Amino acid sequence: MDSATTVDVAVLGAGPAGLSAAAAAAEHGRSVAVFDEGEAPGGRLVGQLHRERDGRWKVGRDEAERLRDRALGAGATIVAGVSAWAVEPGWSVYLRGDGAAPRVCHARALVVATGAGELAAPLPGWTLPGAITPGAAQVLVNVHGVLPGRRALIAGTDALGLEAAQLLEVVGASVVGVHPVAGVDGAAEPPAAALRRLVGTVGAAAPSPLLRAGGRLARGRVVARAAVPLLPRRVAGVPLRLREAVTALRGDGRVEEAELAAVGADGRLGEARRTVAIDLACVGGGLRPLVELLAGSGCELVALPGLGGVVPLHGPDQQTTAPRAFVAGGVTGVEGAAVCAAQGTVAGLAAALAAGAPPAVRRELAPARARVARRRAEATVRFHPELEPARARMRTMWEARCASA
Amino acid sequence: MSGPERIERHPVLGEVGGRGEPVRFSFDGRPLGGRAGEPVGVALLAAGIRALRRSRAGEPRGIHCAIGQCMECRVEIDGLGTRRACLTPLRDGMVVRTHRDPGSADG
Ligand SMILES: Cc1cc2nc3c(=O)[nH]c(=O)nc-3n(C[C@H](O)[C@H](O)[C@H](O)COP(=O)(O)OP(=O)(O)OC[C@H]3O[C@@H](n4cnc5c(N)ncnc54)[C@H](O)[C@@H]3O)c2cc1C
Ligand code: FES
Repeated sequence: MDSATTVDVAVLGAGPAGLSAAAAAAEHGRSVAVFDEGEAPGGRLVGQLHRERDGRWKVGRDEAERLRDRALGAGATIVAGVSAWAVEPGWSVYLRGDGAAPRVCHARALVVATGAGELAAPLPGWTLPGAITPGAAQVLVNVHGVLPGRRALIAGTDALGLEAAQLLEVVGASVVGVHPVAGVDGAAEPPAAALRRLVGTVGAAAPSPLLRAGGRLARGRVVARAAVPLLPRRVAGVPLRLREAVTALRGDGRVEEAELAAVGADGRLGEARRTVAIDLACVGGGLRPLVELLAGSGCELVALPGLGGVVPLHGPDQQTTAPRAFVAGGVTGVEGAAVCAAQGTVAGLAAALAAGAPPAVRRELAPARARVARRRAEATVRFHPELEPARARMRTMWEARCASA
Repeated sequence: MSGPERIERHPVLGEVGGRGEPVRFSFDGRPLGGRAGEPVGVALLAAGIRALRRSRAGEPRGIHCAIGQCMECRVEIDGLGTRRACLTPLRDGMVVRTHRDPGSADG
């Protein structure tokens, strides 16, 4: 089928950022279409589950439903099950899907909110069936209701790996350990450095169990500086094993065992190997912004490791270097869902203005921007310890770009 | 170790997963059951099937990211062609097969 549609604002991605952008733009009288390749809106939020400090659970899918209802209530159209494969300045969005969805969408303003994706770690055997990402474990368990294995090993010691470990234990799997991944150079991250990095990823407000654990890690901060740090055996109820790295996954047609080696204080691996029987491995190499769609857009991209890698150069109103193109959420730097949603509101307001909303809407931008800062300060988890310096660097780069333009 | 299984009651979320009608489908000729609308790859995982395609070298591959990003879960579905099993909704009577790249070792 060949069909086109025209709207004021096209939003790519229906995660917390995209849904918030759509709601903000639609609430100001713009016609809005949101496109997402998932079967239902919500993005990565639908798989998330966090325990608050008071023991209550914060359920991502409930929050996703609220955001969806707000966007729909404001009059936005959400089209699920279609992938955007290119954008052309002007703006035209090219789409692919099975159903009767349009093939191209023309829009005055564009909001790209494609989120973040998981990176693989270079671990021999990571391609075996039964080796999945930590994010996949969240989705399979919390969205699809399938326990992907009974005895799991987590390879990769970051926030997402700890989340996956905790979740698997909550639903009755046993987690043999959360281990660092051995590098191709035959070394792993030194345990003390890993501990310092984990402490750095705990946000200021830290309510969830991971984060209570983070608090415990933080109290161990002094200890972590010692040559032979005192490492906690269990963090947030899951066995964190910074002194033993995974060197390979093996099995006949599926993951059946993991091979482990001791990690010395300098990160070097010992000679001996031990194996542990498992039927599931969650292998995580961190998160990175999904910027591919911006390739042909004319938006300038910059590399800032603190934000997760290559991100669009963008300003305080989520504007990019391309006219009437805005970005929000994980695509601008990996952060939690609440920050992403707040950025989405800013992008939606700015896109509405760019697409002809009354100038009075401008007054709403400052409070919306302030909400982003507030959400960031309240964040319970930081995906990179250098997040704040990287955000500051982005501001400097944007100002320099504006001064020279 | 009994492998993958459905979570009948999630301790926090209660009911999770597809609440669709029970449907029949097949994988490489083997008759299986699943729930309408759930991803094909989820129905296969719940049935204990993890290998969905063969790499060019003939190695088995299965669900990796579960959200449509890695392309490791490709299967052949009659009438649809090559599809990502983690995204494609299951329908009654679907005929699903292991995906093999043209020119792969055991293709
Ligand atoms: C696997 C994973 C797990 C995470 N877990 C946590 C966690 O436990 N806690 C936490 O605080 N944060 C977590 N995060 C961080 C996460 O990025 C935020 O929580 C939040 O969901 C990001 O919101 P977003 O709207 O920017 O992007 P997302 O929620 O990622 O939504 C982006 C949407 O865009 C769609 N999309 C992408 N490309 C295209 C395309 N080309 N065409 C059409 N649609 C497209 C996707 O299908 C997706 O629905 C996780 C991130 C990932 C990747
Ligand atoms: S499992 Fe990654 S695309 Fe389906």
